[in-house]
Amino acid sequence: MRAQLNPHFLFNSLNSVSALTTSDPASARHMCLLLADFLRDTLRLGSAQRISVREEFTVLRRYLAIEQVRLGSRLSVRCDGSDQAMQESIPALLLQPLVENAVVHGIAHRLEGGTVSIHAECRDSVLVINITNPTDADRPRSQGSGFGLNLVRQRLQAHYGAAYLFQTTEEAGAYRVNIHVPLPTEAGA
Amino acid sequence: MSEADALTVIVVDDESPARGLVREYLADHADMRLVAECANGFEAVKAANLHKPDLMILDVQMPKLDGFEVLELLGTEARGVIFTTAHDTYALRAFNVHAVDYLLKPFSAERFGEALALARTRLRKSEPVPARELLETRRDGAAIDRLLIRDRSNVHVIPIGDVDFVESQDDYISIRAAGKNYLKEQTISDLEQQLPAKGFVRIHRRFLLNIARLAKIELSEKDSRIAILLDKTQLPISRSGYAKLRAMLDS
Repeated sequence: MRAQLNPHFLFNSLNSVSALTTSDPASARHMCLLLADFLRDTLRLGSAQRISVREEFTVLRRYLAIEQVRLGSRLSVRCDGSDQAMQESIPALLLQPLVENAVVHGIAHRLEGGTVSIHAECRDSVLVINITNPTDADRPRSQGSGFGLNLVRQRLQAHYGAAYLFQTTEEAGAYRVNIHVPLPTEAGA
Repeated sequence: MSEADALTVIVVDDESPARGLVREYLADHADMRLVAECANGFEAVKAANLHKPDLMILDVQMPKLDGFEVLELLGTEARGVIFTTAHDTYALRAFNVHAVDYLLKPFSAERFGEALALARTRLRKSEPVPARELLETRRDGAAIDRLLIRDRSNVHVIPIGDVDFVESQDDYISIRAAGKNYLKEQTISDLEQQLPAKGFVRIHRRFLLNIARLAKIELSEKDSRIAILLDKTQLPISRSGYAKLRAMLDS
């Protein structure tokens, strides 16, 4: 799990802390605490572990709050889900590389920034998760990080065998990741 | 120190805290005068055009234009450059474009001071930046997927698929794309080397053609041929150009 963490994310975040130390000490401290919480999450959660979607979203919100310090008003976040979806479990930090891609390869390439949208809901016996971000019109294929995508695919395979759907699409200036995983059956519980 | 002796500085970084840090560090150096702060490459090109700064403190990864593309567009107008980035992977390229220094984020006030000291020495000697070398230093030999053209302080970004053909005009090239002509300071041979091997053919000493725009080849008088493009434009084809064109069409 530790290998997943992008070191540039850490260096850039530390640079923000260094900058805010004199200009806005309260924000610098806030950033340190966000970073500490996020790092603790990534160290605590092993790759075999499953956590609730609610808990996963909490980690993602922490990560995005840190990126918001760097990117300011260019990054906005919408992260929601149905009550039922929030209680379902998924492999811990499954969505982290996807959200990082959305920021680094999507929002950060746009002058005007944009919104990273994360949504979870249940449809019949399937948990559906979408992550969407706007892309830069001049670099439509900028969502390049195959490393992150492969990692997510491998983990889905390890946890669900062939019983999952993992899809990425790009159209009309938006990049979208679509994940379907089966809900645990009542009888099997 | 009088105003006139001060070195003018532009800070370019898409992150507001990062610009704030450089502003703070600069305040300790009485001979440095911050004249502009830019949040992206477009603003940087505009500001450099307006202020003709002695020194640019330049982030590498930014939206639309990265730090190296900004330098490419500024050409000889970029005097001293100090790169700032969280990535150590660009150091060699930075050295190739004659950067004064390369600061890894986060950096200390002392380390920043060393970079400024280097810049003072370099700028005082006012070594001219070798323009041609600067223009020819490219992204690690990888083929480009878009052309950057500067028109005074405006920047045009043209996907290479939009280019019909390129015509050489001595040290300049004229680029025809989407019904418009753009002039860029670059030789046609230099551009030819940067373009992807498939797709563009040097059909003549003076012309580089996007092969997707070719409608037909006509024999004019004697042995000479002309290329007719989809929009009816006619371009001459040289003997060696024809051989290259045949090789590409046959493959």
